[in-house]
Amino acid sequence: MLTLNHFLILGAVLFCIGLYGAITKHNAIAVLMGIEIMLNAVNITMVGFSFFNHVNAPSQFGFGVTNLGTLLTGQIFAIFIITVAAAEAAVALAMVIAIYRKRDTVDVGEIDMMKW
Amino acid sequence: MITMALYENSWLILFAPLLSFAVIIFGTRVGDMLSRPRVEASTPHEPHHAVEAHDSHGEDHGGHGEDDDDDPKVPSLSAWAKISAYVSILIMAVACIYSWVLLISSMVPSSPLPTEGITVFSYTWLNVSPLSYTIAFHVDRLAIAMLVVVTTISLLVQFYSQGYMENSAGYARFYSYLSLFAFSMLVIVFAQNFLVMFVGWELVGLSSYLLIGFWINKRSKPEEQRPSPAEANLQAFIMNRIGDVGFILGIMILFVNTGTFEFSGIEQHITQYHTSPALLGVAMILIFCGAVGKSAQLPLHTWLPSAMEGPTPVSALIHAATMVAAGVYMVARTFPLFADASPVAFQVVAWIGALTAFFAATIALVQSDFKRVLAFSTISQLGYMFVGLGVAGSEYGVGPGMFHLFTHAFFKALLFLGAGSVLHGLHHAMHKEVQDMRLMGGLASKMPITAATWLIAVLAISGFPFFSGFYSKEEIIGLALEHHDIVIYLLTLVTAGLTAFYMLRAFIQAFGGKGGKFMGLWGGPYRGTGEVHESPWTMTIPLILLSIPAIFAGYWFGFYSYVNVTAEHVLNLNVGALLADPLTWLGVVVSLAGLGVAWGIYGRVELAKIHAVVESNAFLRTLHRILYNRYYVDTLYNWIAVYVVLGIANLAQAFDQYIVDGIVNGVARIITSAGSDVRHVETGRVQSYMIGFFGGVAVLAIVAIVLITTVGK
Amino acid sequence: MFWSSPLTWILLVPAIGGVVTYAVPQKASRWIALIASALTLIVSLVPFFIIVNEHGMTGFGNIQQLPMSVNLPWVSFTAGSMHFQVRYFLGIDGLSLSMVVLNAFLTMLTIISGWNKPRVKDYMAILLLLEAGVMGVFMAMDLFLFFLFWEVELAPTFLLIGIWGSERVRRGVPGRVYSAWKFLLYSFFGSIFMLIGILVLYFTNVAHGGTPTASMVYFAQHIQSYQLPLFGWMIGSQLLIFLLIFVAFAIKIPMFPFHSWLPDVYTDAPTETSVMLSGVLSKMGAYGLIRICLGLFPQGVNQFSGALMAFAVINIIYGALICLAQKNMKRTVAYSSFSHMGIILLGVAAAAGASNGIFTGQSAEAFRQAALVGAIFQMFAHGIITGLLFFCEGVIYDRAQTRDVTAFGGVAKRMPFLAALFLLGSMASLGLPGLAGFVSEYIVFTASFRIWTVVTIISAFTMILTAAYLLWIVKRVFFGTFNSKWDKLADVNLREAIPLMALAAVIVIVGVYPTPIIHVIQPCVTQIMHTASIAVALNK
Repeated sequence: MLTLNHFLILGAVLFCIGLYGAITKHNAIAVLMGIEIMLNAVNITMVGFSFFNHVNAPSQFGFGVTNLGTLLTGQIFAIFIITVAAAEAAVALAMVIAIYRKRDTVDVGEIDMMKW
Repeated sequence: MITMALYENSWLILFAPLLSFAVIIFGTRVGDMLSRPRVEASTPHEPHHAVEAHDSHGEDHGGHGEDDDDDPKVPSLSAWAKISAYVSILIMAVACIYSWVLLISSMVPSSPLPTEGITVFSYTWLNVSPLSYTIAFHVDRLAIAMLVVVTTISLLVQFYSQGYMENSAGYARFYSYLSLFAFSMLVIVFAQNFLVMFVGWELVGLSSYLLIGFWINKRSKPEEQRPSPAEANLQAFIMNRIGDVGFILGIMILFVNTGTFEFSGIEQHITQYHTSPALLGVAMILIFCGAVGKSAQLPLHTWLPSAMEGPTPVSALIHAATMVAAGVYMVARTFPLFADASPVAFQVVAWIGALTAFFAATIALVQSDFKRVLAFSTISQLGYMFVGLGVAGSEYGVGPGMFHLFTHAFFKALLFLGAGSVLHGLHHAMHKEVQDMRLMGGLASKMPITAATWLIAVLAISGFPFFSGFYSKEEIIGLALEHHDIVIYLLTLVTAGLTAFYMLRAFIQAFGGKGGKFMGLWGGPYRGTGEVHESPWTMTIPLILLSIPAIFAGYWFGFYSYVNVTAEHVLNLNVGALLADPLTWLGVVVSLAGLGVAWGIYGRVELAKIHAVVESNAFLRTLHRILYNRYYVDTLYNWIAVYVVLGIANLAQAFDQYIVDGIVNGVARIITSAGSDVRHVETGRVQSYMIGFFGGVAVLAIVAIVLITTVGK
Repeated sequence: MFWSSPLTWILLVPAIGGVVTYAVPQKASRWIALIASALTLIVSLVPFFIIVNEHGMTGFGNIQQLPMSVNLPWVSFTAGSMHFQVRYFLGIDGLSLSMVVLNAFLTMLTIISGWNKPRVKDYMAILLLLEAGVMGVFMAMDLFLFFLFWEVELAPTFLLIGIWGSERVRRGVPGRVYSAWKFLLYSFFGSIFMLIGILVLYFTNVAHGGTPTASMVYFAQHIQSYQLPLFGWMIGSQLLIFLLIFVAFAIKIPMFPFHSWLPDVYTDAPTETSVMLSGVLSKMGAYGLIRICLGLFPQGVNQFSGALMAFAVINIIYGALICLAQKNMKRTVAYSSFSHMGIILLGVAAAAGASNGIFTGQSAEAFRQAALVGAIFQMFAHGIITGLLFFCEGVIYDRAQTRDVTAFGGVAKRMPFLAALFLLGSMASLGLPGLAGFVSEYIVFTASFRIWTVVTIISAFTMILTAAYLLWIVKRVFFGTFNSKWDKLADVNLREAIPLMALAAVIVIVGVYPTPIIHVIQPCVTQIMHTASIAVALNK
């Protein structure tokens, strides 16, 4: 039986993998990939919560569905995140390319112009 | 018929010199400056040319050129400069005549001037009931007596200065200062309360400062132990200020206790409320500190010898006859308060006076500088005046002290003006300033008028019988004994002998010498160079005029009761008793002994031989050195000023810079350095930010979980 | 109402003048500035003549009976139960008027003196804006308005020091930059406390059911005295608020130990700014001390007066001692200004002080009034005297390019006129009778002797020290052996002579006949002391 915990554990594992990648990788693209994984881990958690929230909460009106807003909140969040992630990926990749052109590297260790 | 209006308008005398000061400063002196050719500095000439041109004409100038910083001269005085002098002299003459009219009219028994005097002019600064700060002038007989002295001597000195200051570049300036001085001195004379007295007191200090420093660029002469005028006037002002602090503290004690500055008001309050004599004594001693400063008494006397760096007429006017007498006048003015105070106050006055008189006389014995001898003799004579005030008591009142002031003013002015005449002659003969008596000698045959008048003054100051000094001085010595102050008596008696000795010594060194007539008294070999001539008539006339009161001023036997400021009647000088008293003749014998010894030594032995004798004897040599260096008091004061005062000042400066400002800047530095350390956290690496971010979230999450799990249950 | 009041115009004329000066071409600008400052002087004298005409020479009123005022609503809003309002409330009484005239007078002289500055247009414009700001401080009768003007004045001063100040490198930056920042930060440090103090006063008053207003007149009539909690302790609102507000004034005066900005800033500022700083800006502190601290918090000042007296004597003697050690002429004048401000503090401490001196022959009340009159007179006298000294120093510096006292010698030979004026300034500063400084010094000393006997005795020694350091400078610079290095030194020219002569004339006139000024300030003093004695008596 697939329970909420499975979703949460999967999300947590994915998140940790993504975090690990984002923190340890030197390549900016890899860091971005790590971030994407973290975002998707969150998405899984959101959707999981959304689904089980619906299953576990008995309807106030007698037939399953309570209220469309409550039902879909988590999934709408997930869609938002996907959208933002796409935009972020586009902007971030553009910046990475720009930085690569300028500095001939995508090593995040060397991109520290904002320090001090 | 004598009317009150005569006295009520006497403030005109006060403001007359102020008028001449204003006329000179804003009128004639401006004209004088404008009429002068522009000095080189302001014209854009090439420097080398100017110097060469100057050098080629250097011989013509004979040391009197523009460049002569010691005593800058102009080729000839402009009309404006002369007008300055005339204005000043004319106005002073009017004031002098008015003063004499006041004097003579107030001596008439039917005179409407009340004993306590009248207020002639007043306005209020601040009135916070019951306090009032009022400028008020007041005239009574004591003031009139002083008025006569001040205006007469001022007039003669101003007249004399025409000759002495001939062709001086600062001729107009000199007269403006003299007028300012006369005004300041008259403010003291006219003072009705301590506020005005203090005002005059400080203004006199200012005029003295300006006049001592008249030759602004003159150099010091360390080989003669002579400071530059710029040093001398600074010293004079500060010494006076030290006394003034005591003065103002005394005024404040009286003020907070009585709520008034007026002499009469304070006196009234004291008798009415029976203020404690001890407190009053403290106040009066503090006030006497002011007199100590102004009258150059021990221990604030060092400024007066230095003040001799001013032009000689100035020395005559303010450092002998008038300003230094202000201290005496002030004590006389506040005599009733002294009388009400604890007797210690009078004792302090008398003791300081006696010690100073003796102390200064011993120093004067060995000085070789002509003017310095006179300076110390002034200090010594002022000491006599304070003894006179201190021992007179209510029986005689201010009379004895003031009488000596009165007679001394004339013969001391005469001495100084005579000295000025000598210096003037020597300056013309040697083309440089000479004050050393070792370079004089035998001048009597060359300057007979100066010498004769000087001899009169010497006899007067020595207390030679029937000269003016005899009556005033012997009376003071006698009173000291009458009061059973045996030490004071002995000090004053011995001082009389010393005075006679050093005065005749100075006379013979300058005017006589071995080989002169009358056993070396008159004429003899001249030790300087050049041809000395008698001074012009502008200078000799004042000498002749002054020699009259130098002899006869002592014959005003009603003086004591005339100047009496206390309510009670006082005794007059009893000439019969004075002449009949054997002790008087003891004093005369001592003086004559002093004269005789001086005559015997300096008239018969050559100066060089005397020096050799002194140098050969270890004791005499040491004594001579100590006395010649004025007991090293100046050295001590210098040391205190340089090491103690400046040391504390430097300490304060260091404290301010390193501690106070250090703390402020330290706080600023701590904040900046903290900021610059902390900013290194910002590495610019996204990943380290990420660690911080997620680490923070993790910590918060743990805290949240702990809180939920523990608090919830 | 707004436009018709002369007080508004005292504020607007210099402000508009400043803007116009900035807008016109360089050549015309200095004349515009001169005209604007002259107009300001005229406008600031208008209230004087109106009041003399209406109430006579002794009718200059006090804060409770302002002879001339303008009071309009400005900011007003309600947040919750709190009603908050700031009013455009200007008023003038004797205390304000003397300072307003002093400000107008000195500004006009600084404009004449700064005639040939580089970037003269900006310089004049900023000077005029500074004048406007200071005018506001002296006339504002609403505490928030007062605070506003208090801050407004900082900006022009900052610019004047920072742009035209000394280039001498100090701590790695030009002195002008260092000093400008030091002045700004130090002043802001004080301002924070003042703002907190004003807010505490405002809100405690409202919380205790008082009228929601920040008007000084209101607080002068309703002396606030509550117990306020502070970190668990109860503290009197009088003392707390007084101390908070006083920090700002103590810095501006400056009072020991908040003075360390003074030597740097006075020395690095251009001459004219030094004149304004010592002549007018330091008076803002003294004015605030008397008007706000003594007027609104008499009990607080009374409780603090022992410390105030100690700080006063430190100011006087410590400042004078430091002067003796200085070799820099301007620094000496700066420290001497610091020393002389101590006399104002002493006067205020005596006015507020407990009345049990050593000598109890006369009632203390009159002495306290006299002390305060002396202190206020000293504000005026000190303004013109240090002004003269700074101007003289500026003239010498312009010619010799050095301020080192030991580098000179006998300069009076070439600059007799300047020497005479500097000597006059020194004499006035050391309290020579007949000149302005004497009147205040004498009154303050004689009066405060009744209240703080020992301290006054110590302070009296400043007579010696002041004479020593000032005349020592005169001796080393102007008198003595002539240093031929300065043979080409020219004396004061006509343009430079105008401010010097004007100040010298005022010093002499005020010194000889101080009665008019004392008449102007006396009603104000009577009221302050009256209110204070009632408040202090109630507190006991």
